[in-house]
Amino acid sequence: MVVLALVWSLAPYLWTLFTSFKTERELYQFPVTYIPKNPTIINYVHVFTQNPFGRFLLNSAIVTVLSTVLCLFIASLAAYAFARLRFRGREPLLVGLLVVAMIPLITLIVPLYVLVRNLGMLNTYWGLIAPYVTYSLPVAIFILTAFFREIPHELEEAALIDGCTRMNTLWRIIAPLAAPGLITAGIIVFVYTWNEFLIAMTLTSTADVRTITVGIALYRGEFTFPWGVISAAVALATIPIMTLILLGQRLVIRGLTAGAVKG
Amino acid sequence: MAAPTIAQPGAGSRALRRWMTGQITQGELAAILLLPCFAFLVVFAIYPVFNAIWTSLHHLRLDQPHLGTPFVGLRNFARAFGDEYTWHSIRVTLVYTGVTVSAQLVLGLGLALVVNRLVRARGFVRAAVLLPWTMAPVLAGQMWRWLFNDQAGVVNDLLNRTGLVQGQIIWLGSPVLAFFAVTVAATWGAASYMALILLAGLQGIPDDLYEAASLDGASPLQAFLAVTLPLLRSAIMVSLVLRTLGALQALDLPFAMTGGGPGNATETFALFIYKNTFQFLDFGYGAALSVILVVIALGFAGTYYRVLAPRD
Repeated sequence: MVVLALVWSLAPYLWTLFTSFKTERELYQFPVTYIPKNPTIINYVHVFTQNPFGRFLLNSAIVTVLSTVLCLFIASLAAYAFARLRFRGREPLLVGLLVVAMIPLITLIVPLYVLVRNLGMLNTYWGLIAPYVTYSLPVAIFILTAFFREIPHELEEAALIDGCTRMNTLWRIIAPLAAPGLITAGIIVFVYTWNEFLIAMTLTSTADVRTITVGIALYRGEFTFPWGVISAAVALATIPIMTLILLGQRLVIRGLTAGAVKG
Repeated sequence: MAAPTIAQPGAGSRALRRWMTGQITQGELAAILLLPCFAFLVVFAIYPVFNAIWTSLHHLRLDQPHLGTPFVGLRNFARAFGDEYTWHSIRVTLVYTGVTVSAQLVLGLGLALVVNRLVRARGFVRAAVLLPWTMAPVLAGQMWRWLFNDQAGVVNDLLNRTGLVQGQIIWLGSPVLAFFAVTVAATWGAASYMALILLAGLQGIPDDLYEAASLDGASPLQAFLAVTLPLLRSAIMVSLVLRTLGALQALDLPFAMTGGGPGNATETFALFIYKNTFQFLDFGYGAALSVILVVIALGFAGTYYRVLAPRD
């Protein structure tokens, strides 16, 4: 059973990885070879020399890192309010967040396109980052609120009595204790943003700002479909996420659960 | 959805001064903390929703700028309901949602049970099971397109090697097979997400319940039906809601894998909206279609909520 679970989850990845080291000729042999007979790195060379995939990877990295950081900052302010403060409109606002999280992206995409165009942000990093931050906010807020609630009130009250301002308590007491929550929400926002396709495809039309998902999806060879190069690009696009998940899987799972229970 | 509390001008700066000195009410602090968040949501989510509704009531085609944007009432909606392609893509989406979400639930539950029972190498297996969820659907679509390739695809190769099939099946060339292939790819990615939510649910079930069940002479299957399933109910519901909402708006995976074809066999409703909007540049019609999708999505969410709410 365990072997089956592993094969189901990992075999497509391994197949893609093997494909990325095959020569053009070996690609179309049938029966198929699994381990490449004459492994070559030519596909990886092509990724960086013949195609702007390197640029796409860099764009993805810039957009994703900036979106994640900005989203975490804004979401932790909001999550602190939801977790700790009593104010009018708290419940309706939480329900509103939930409804926003349920709106299909395809509905927002046309107005978003017009809006971003009117703001002069088409084909810019910020034109992608602003929507990414927005659509990641609900899930980030749900996760962080759940984490903030677990932090004992007493620590904060002690600091407040000692004359610490609310803002200082937030930075000195809450933020360090909520670090696992921030990492969790950060990973989930990072994965979402790195993998996003519809917004990136609609709001970019030049290679300068295009992200890797769009680059690979729109890539067509001149004569045949260059599966070796595509596989190499897919492998490269997947590595950052894989590393992140292997390092932080415990936290991701906790965050998925916290976010899911709320959402 | 208005920002909380502070409304009059001037109140903000006074609140800011008191905040600097630490004297501030909870409501005022909440308003300040929520302000950036709601600024983003209002500009990039709430305004676009209302804009989509407005657009759906107007004629707006980018390739016919001379017509302007006249108000056409519900004509876009009438056209949508009279369009056989609309109904076709809604049917594709509902079948796709039904098939993928139930397959994901069964497989996800299976994966969760496997990981939950592990003692050794648990972290590794759990990470491996999580990986398919982290692959961008659009890249998974490309990857599976290659796996289902008729000449050199691994699926055909395995079927031939095991003797189940002779010759090469043209998976992405026939409507039924292409639809099947797309649902397999979609299930691969999302079953892993389902598995992790269910795994969290499984870990919350106390061991002594199983001990009691086995003392009562229950078989593993009986224990599963009497203990596991009822206690997993809310985890199952949560994952069903999330995955249903995801499947209803599926676009990137079919886009990459089949482009909606052959014909329009795998053209989901979201993909149909996308084509009307960005290929035929009919923004008014696309907006009307997407309003219909919101109603369908909220309808599903509401139904699930009603099923879930009374008993918890």
